[in-house]
Amino acid sequence: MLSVVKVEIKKLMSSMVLWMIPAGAILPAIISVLVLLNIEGVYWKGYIHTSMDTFNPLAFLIFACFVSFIWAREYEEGMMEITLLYPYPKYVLLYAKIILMFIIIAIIVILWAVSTYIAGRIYLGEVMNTGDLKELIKMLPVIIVTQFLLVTITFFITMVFKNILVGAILGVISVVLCYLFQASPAIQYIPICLPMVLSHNLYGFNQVILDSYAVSFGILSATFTVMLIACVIYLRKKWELH
Amino acid sequence: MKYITLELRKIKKTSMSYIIFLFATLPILLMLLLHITSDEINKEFYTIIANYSVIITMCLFTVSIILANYIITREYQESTIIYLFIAPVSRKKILASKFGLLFLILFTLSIFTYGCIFLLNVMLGEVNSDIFARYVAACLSGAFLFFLLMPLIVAIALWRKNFISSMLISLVMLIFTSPFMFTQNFYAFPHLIPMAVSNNMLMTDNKLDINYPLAFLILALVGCLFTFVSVRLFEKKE
Repeated sequence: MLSVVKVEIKKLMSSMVLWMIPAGAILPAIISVLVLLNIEGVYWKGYIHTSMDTFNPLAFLIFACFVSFIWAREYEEGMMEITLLYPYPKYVLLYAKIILMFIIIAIIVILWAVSTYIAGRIYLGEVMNTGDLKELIKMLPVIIVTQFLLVTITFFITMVFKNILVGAILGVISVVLCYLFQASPAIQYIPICLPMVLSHNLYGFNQVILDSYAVSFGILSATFTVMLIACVIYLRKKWELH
Repeated sequence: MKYITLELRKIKKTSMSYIIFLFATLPILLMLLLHITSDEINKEFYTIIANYSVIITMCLFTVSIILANYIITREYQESTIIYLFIAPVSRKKILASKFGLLFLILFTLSIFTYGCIFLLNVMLGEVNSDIFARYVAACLSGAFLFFLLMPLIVAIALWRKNFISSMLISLVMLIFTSPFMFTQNFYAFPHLIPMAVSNNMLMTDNKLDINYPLAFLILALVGCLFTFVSVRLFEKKE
């Protein structure tokens, strides 16, 4: 299993989309600073909150692109036949890619936190106090887990369509949905908007409506499980029977 | 015209036609959904359109990015560029036909989307000549200004020669900088100008402060510069 993950990492390292990791992490921080540039009286928590609300919907776009890229490139670059020759059960391939996605998500989220801190330090001109820093650090696992719970949706849709474009389309739709339903109570029931809703509320803000944390985490967990099962069933039908 | 028809035929039987259809209908469906789910105070259809017009422009720009990257990079990735280059036609004409196709699709798509939304507005809300004029202005200005950005997208596609890579660069450039549109200095990102202008055409209040001649000048400069870059990249011998 570990060696398949290593192979996946090596394949990713040689790809043309690696620039998305720093871009996905650094751009939200820069954009937040630019958006707040002319506003006076900005404090650390407000700045982090703006950056987080910018990052979450955009991060899903990045992660969805990564997922569809690491799955569909096997087909588009004619590598799937070779990949299926690995002496491993076929599902290991899926699990390896899911683990790879966890690593990517974790790296991007941590890089985002670091770049947000650096950009904020330059913009606000003061050191973040320990309380705010602790709160930011506490938010990182939440963002990582909530974003990770969505990867199986993209995996499943990419498996069905076998097209790299799927991730980009899904990502754009998610950004549009998050923007459209920002003020509507319906947002707490749309799985792809939940990372934004949860982190927004857990960070102490309440402009985005959320009635119950349990229901939201339940929706995310159910989405992950159902989509994972759907992926496995789809792959069984596709690979084992033929 | 002959070459544009040829380019159109090339994309006709690909997944691109579905993607174009998806992004043409997506804003219509979303606006309808928003109308259904909105409360009584904000239920006026035109108010919804005016407040969320950025969604329409974002969808139009996304599909034009995908299409522009696709029609350029697939020639390289599927090695059909060799056959194009040995055809007794200048490279400038080939590139012009691709721009022509983009122009046609962008305008058709814009007219279709805004037209359908206008029809919905007729059915679900109140319409007068002023609102009609706003729709026409948003549709035409958006499509025209987006077209001025196409050379930039084509130049990125010709630089990377890889569909996913060039598309992601363009998409990240668009989506990640979109929050910046609501600030005063959005001119720093020329690709936000068409969205801002198009939104202003529909908005009744809280309009963005746009210097229209300057906005047009910036876009025209970007268009000219990247047309030149695209031609140079396309004519480069490898």
